[in-house]
Amino acid sequence: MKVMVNGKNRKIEGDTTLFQLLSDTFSRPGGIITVRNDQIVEQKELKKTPVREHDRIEFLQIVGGG
Amino acid sequence: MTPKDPLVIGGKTITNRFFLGTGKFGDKKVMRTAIEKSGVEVVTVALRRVDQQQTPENLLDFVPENTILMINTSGARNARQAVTIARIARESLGINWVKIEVIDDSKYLLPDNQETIKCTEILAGEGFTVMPYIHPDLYVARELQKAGAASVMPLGSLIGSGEGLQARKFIEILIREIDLPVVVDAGIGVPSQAAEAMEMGADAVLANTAVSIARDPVQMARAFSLAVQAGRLAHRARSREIRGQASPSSPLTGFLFEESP
Repeated sequence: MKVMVNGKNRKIEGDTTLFQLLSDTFSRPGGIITVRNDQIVEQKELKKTPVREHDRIEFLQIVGGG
Repeated sequence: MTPKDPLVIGGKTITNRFFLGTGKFGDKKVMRTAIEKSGVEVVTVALRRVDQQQTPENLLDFVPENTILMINTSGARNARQAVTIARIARESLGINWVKIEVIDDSKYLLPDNQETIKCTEILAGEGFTVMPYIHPDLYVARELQKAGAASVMPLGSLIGSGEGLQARKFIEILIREIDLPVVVDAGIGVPSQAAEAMEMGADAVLANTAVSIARDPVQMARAFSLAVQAGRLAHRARSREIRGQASPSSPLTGFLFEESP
């Protein structure tokens, strides 16, 4: 299926969850904020949340800023 | 940091009137030490997409506990985007303080005052402690006060320029006319400029680049903290000198449309 991750198109084979996508993408997923279709998904919900066709997923983090 | 001279913003009492931005620190451990050694109580942070090429490091692991976090909406080009950033920060991390920074100009990085007003109305209505970063304009500051801002943050000069209080006259007007704390932000390059802002009556100063790119950020953060404290003391110690009142260059009599006595 096709999804958008951090503004980029991405193809995913088979069923997956947000948790799996997060773990596959980053080696240290701690502290990452996940937003799916403009809704924040809590950490404890990530394993239960399937990735669906055309999802817009944002993986965000707090960084230094003025 | 004089006794009985706290700054109260959003129901929180702040003793150290030097606020620090967390951007551009080469070593986050140094940032933590700078916060600790200078006694900084309020820091700004930003929200960004995670770069897939890098292993993300959690900045918040390097911010001492009990520090007040303020989310900077940097990267927002309009009110809607700034609102989204603030909501994400609150919902995911409980950050309730927001520095509204709406910039749609990459050359001068000047804030969009009109979008900032819109954003302030929305976020103040949702219970955020809203600190709008603005180009110092009296009408805009009045609108922000009406909209429920907790302070106003006028720029001293262009972001990252280190040019100090280029907007001094206009910031002074805000200090006199607006019943909100005035936090001078942006362009403060050296501690003496921070002291100058405090001497003229600013309630706090925020700096970032001047500290983070200093050869010794820990000592520079301390220097800023002390300068802000000194400027505050000087402001309180002297009798208030009113300057900057308008003096018309044209006569105030003989207007065409008034009835003659």
